[in-house]
Amino acid sequence: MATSLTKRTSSTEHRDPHSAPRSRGLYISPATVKLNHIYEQNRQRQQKKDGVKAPEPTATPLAKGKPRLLLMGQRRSGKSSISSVVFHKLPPNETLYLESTARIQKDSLNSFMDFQVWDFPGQIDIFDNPNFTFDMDAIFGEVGALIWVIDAQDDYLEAVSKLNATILHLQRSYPHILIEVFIHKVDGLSDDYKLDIQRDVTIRIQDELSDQGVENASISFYLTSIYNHSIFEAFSKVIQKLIPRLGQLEALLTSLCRTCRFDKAYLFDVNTKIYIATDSSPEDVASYEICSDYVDVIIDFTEVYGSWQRSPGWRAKLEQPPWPKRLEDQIGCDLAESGMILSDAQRPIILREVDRFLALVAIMHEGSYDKMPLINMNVDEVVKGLTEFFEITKPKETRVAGKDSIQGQMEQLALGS
Amino acid sequence: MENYLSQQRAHVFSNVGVLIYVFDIESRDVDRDLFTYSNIVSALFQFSRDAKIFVLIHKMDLIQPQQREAMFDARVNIIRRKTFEAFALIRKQNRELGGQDTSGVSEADVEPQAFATSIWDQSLYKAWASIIHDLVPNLSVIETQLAALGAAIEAEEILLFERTSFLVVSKWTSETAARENPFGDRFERLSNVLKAWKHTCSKYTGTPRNSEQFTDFEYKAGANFSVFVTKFTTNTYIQVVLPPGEARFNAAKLNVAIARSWFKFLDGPSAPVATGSAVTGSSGDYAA
Repeated sequence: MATSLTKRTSSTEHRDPHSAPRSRGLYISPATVKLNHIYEQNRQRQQKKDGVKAPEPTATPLAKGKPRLLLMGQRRSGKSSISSVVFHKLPPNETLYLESTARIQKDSLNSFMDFQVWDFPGQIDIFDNPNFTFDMDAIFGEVGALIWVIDAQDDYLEAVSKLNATILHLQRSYPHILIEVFIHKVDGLSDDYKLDIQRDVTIRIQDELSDQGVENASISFYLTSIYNHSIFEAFSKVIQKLIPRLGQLEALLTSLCRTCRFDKAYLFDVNTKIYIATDSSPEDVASYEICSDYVDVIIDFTEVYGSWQRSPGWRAKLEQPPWPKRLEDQIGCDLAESGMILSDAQRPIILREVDRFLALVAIMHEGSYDKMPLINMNVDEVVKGLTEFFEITKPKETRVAGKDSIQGQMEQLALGS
Repeated sequence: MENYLSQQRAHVFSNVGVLIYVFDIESRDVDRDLFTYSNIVSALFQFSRDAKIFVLIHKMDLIQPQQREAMFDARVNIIRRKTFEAFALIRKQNRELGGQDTSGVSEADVEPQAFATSIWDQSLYKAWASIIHDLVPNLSVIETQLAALGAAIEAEEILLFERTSFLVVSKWTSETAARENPFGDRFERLSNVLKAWKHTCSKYTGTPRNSEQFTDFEYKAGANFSVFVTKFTTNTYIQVVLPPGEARFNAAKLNVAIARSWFKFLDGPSAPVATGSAVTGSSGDYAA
């Protein structure tokens, strides 16, 4: 029954610009063409640049593959707590027992993009240290973003002046570094007070910088706490800035939302629950929370029922009549897919695995559960598009291998037309 | 408390189904705790001799992990001894005074069931689930029917959750899955997960925590397994874990929807008489 439904609906499904009928192998969707186009442009531009001058190590930090996130700030401002909660899933109330960090703590984060997170001890001043000079290039050479953590429940004047000094240092040699200020530990503060602090910190930093003649530093401010989702949201936004071609991802999700009438769609990194892209509709903390918790539910179910090996006879038994087909042919989709209907106005939430690291989570429009087959098909196409996107935007070394296949596709396209 | 044992004694302790007694493992005055406990169980034996006793040894998180088991065992042994002493005393009194006849109740019937609990992990779910489990009337009927359903739809596991607490009321696991699944604590864990999810939903929708939050959940994990959780009867949710396969999944969903009428008696008022009649009624429907 399911197949007939999908067939019936496939004619209406063309409304989605990113979908392609599966039956024709040679057809390449407009999205693919556009991505290929961008890739080609990018490559040519890169080649031109390389031809003119020798590649500068600091000029294009993202091209080198592993963006680095630096966590800095005063001692006891909560840097290690942040990295343990976000990257090591430590329950927030256990961060009380963390020892203070004595040396630079390096964490590697393997996900859709490989990140390095460096946690700096707060008591060391790396710019002005009498005992030891730090190799600035080794630290800041590949940095994507510097996260400065300020304890909002403490006197933050010193932290602000330290931050200013750091920005001034960095502006000279590494102007591309993004400065992200986390005004941390804001749980328990009233909303008005939080905003007051944010305003105060912002003004102090900007005044100081413009006094020094630095106008165009890119600085963003976030109010964060490890006891709620705000720290994940802040990290999401920081990481989104480091993703090449984020606009394309967002356009893909926006068009999915429009076509399927989704209220909100997120592309999650499953391990950290950071979202790396969302559609263009307004930000909404509540939607992020429920989607992120949904990912948790799925992870738990997967662990309990899917993380162990079934006995050898299991598969043979399932491939017997009444369904005498290979198990792979019995299932509709070889990646995880899930849906949940909330009682409140029958609003469904869906989740679809994209690859090992990513999952697409969306909140659907009220009462749209009946159109599930159609939606599944559109989601399928978007997932395909996303997979291609990550294939194309992969770091250079691996990209060379992928080049041939893309050129092959382009030829196929030419043949097809 | 004193009042319960003196003036309101008969009022408080008659018609008791279950006594749940919570001990603080870190209590400073253990003897006093035990004395109160003895008094309470004596009153219980006096007025409701069929009551079951559950003992929660609470705040276990405060004890170092390697000492937990030993301390728990020691405490439970004392409590058990106190229970039996109180029971023997009441029996003797009854015989002398010619009160309630306690001859039909043996020591094994009054033995308290003890759990080590803490609010910081899922141990409370385990304790409460087994308390609830003992309270459900017609348990054997439910279990047989669940087993029949499970075999019919070739499920790996079926869990029946209570609607508000998401405690596992009853469960059935296929033989192979029971042998192979390494997660012995999965029932408590899933209760915990679904309950947490319910709270997230209530935050999102702005409805009260205890109202119904979701009606349907399905998850197909490729060629690994499929699972769905759905509203079953008015007071329960059912979770069905299946081997992969689209056809198997859809067939199971339909079959579970059909099976709903078999389980209607779950919603009946908890008085055993009423449920008894409901069972015959629903099986009549089924035959028709």
